Amino acid sequence: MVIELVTGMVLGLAIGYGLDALFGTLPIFLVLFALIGFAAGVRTMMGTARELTRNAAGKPPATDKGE
Amino acid sequence: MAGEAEQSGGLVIDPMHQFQPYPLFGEGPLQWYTVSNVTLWLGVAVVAVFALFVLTTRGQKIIPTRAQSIAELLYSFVHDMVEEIAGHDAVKFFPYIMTLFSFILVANYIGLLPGAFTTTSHIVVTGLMAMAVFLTVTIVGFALNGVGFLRLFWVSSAPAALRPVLALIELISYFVRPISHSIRLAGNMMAGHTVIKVFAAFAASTLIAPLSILGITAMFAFEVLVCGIQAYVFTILTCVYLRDALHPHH
Repeated sequence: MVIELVTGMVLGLAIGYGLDALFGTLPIFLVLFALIGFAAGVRTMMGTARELTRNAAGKPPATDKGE
Repeated sequence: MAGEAEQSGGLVIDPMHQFQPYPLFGEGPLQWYTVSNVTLWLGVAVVAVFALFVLTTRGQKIIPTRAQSIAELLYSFVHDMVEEIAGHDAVKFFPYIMTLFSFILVANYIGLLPGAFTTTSHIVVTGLMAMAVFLTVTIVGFALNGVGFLRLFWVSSAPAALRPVLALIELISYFVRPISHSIRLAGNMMAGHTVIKVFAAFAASTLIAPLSILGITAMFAFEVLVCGIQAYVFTILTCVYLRDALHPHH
């Protein structure tokens, strides 16, 4: 599940860098979208964790080792 | 899996060699049409799925044979999962999800055979499957709900000032899903097989060999578990994404 955290951050960084390259305002969007991407990563991770624990109730635990 | 690691002298640890595609017939660079070991083991997986689900259930016995009851067990397992998570109206997507589950499960386990090539350890294979799921979910979402599908990104319970920021976060997390979906499966498969290979390389030294063999055995048992779990996780997340497409309101 750590993958989601990292992916969100990287996606945010990529979008931010792209916007900066477009407008020539290098650090602004990079920082903004890194933060937003991090938030998105946390959100996705929590969502996945919630789904897996809910559906694993009564069944064998579905552990996801995020490698 | 073990084998080619020893040379005269020190240990040669080359755990990534097993993921190398090579052409089966002749030499030369790999093209998209080249029949390689990837093609072979993808084909083996498809044939194995066919044998498990078509050949064993051909008799349709009232009292199932052992192989037939395995097929029936998997069928009802996935069917219940789809109905429970994605809702009753998602059952029409059951054939698609069943195909994904059975292919990933069988490909994972076939990759564990010594000498086999693990097709699901390549991001090309898992990425294609995740991309297919992503496109299916997006297209189905827009086809069923129209523009209302975009409400998935518009958190109506939040204060109005926060909603544009939250929409951006939701949008990014929507695009995070196919990436993490594919990397999770490929990463888990690749990591396990690499660790086994590293242990196997240490077996070349007589002194460490007993410990190394013990390590391989333990790792292999763990991989048997991971193969099943990762197929299950991939399928369950597909169901969750599908539920978002069918009911974007909550």
